[in-house]
Amino acid sequence: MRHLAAIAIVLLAGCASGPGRVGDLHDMGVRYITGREVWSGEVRVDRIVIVSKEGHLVVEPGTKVLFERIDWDGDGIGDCEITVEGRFTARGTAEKPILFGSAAAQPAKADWKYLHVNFAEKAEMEYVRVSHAFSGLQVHYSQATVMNSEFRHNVDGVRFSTADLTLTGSWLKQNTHGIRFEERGHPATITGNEISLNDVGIFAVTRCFGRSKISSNNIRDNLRGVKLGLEQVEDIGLEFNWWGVDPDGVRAGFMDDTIDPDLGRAIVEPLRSEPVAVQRPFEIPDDPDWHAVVAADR
Amino acid sequence: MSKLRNMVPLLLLALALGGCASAPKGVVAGRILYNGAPVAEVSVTLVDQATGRERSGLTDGEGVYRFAGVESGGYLVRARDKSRAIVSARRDTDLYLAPGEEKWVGLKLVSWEGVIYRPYTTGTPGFGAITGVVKQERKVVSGAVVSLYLDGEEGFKGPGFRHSFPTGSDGAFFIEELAETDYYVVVRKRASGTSGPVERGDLYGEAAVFPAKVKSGLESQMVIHVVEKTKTRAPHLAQLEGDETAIKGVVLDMEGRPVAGVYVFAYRDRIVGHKMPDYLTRPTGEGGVFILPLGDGGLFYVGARQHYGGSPRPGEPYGMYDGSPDHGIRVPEGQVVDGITITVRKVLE
Repeated sequence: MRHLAAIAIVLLAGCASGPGRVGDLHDMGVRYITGREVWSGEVRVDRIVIVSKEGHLVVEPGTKVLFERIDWDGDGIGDCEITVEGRFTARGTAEKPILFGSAAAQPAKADWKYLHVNFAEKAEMEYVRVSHAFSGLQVHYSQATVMNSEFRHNVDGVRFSTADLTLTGSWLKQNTHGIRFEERGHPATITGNEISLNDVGIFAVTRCFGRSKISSNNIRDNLRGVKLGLEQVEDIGLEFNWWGVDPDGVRAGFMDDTIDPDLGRAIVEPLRSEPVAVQRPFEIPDDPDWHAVVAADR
Repeated sequence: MSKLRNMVPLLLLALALGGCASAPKGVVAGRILYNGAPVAEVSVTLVDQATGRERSGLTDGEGVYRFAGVESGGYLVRARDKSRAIVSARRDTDLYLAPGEEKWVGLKLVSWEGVIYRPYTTGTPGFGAITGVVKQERKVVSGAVVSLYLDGEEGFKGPGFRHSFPTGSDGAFFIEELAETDYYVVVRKRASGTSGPVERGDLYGEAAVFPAKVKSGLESQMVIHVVEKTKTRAPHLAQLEGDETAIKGVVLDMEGRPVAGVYVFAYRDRIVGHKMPDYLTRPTGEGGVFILPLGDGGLFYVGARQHYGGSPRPGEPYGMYDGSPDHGIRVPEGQVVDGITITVRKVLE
């Protein structure tokens, strides 16, 4: 077992090139985890981290993982990331949550790329905050469970396709898209979450067939509650959610067949009659890296 | 000498007969795609251009058709499914099959929509018009030029008899003041902006009714669906020349056993997403062996999967090359990188 426990560990400093270089991501520094590795304390990531099919990355409660802003390929999105193809376990506690955030003094959306669970064996996250990424979490062709966590100030809070994903008890706030998904080959379960103050609450891009369970959530105070992509012609089911407004106003601003008849419909009835009790998952630690987000809270 | 002279006709006859008897027959095969996915049970027709004889067959579950025992000569291939109203974007794809050759001809299908005739009130009496919209899948296409040809035998070369202005943001076109006759209506949108044959990245389409009839005092209204000309797919194993750029290797399962019947693919982008690959092999054989020609070479992200088209499905064997953490491999132009192993496991199992 490899255990990284220290303050301000910089992963393998001295990579091939420094910040700001425009190049192919294949040449960017990589941390390749092929066995079981445990992170704790403060871990700074200045490269691509890949957990191999045989690897298992464990992040202990109270760990801060801060990603440097390095736009290696010049596309305007930070390129530091964690891609998991094996196992990923990040289980914090209400008292000792885990932070995946930006290392920048003035953090912004897309400072780093994502937690990327792709063709992985399993991913488990609990009492985790993910902020200032391009996508807080992307899950594809994998099983993942996310509980009591926060996704804030990302372009996509949680994004998935063909995923056996369960997301519950979590806050998705102040993202461009709270949930962005393509259902494709496997439905997901999104229940008991607070999805609010995003530009778009639920973004069904394409190939969504209404099989995912997205219910018993508070989906309120988003600039646009629901958006269907240009190729999303099937209806999607969003029954039994709380929208924070009178029934007549629920569909206001929806981008579905109410605006474009070529699109499918977001089916919201039956409506939930009262909000879901979704407690804030955890208290914010007294730490500047966490407060950078709190200051921007609405 | 005279004895030898008498034998010449017999020798020529023997050679001719021998040639007829031994000329190896070939194969015409390919895959039928609609909106980027293979289509099963589509009727494909092979037409012998010399005799007009036709052979027909249906595509299998992977959208593949196959005509075996085909004699050398010129042929047309076309595909159509009336019940689903889809047809090959290029009505007839011509080919020449050399003796014993195996030729792979992939076809793309588009929606088939007929011509609607409406009164043509604004034009000169006695003339008609062709109007419509150009679409790629469900989206309208701007910047496409519609050309009319009077003769279907010349391969639709050059600008044609008449052509439209480039389509605008609504994809609409019109060609007015047309005499009453039949017109072959062809659409091109060139990525390169040049003339000549359509090239990779260009869009091409033909009217569903081909040729389309123009009637006096009527406007022939149509939707023309175009497809993108993509690179030639990986050739068959036997067609790879020694000086080409490629990778060679084997596909294994989690127990290290060879996997037959899977496709090996290569992307130029690290983010594979749900896009079609840049290169693809035909299915691996019994030994799981593959050879993947890679054009000009460069950096590729390589993997293998069971199905072709669409996103990987739960239960489908899938895997990426693990020789580098990000699955990338550089292949210099003109070199064959051998010994590549790809291990597949079932998605979400």
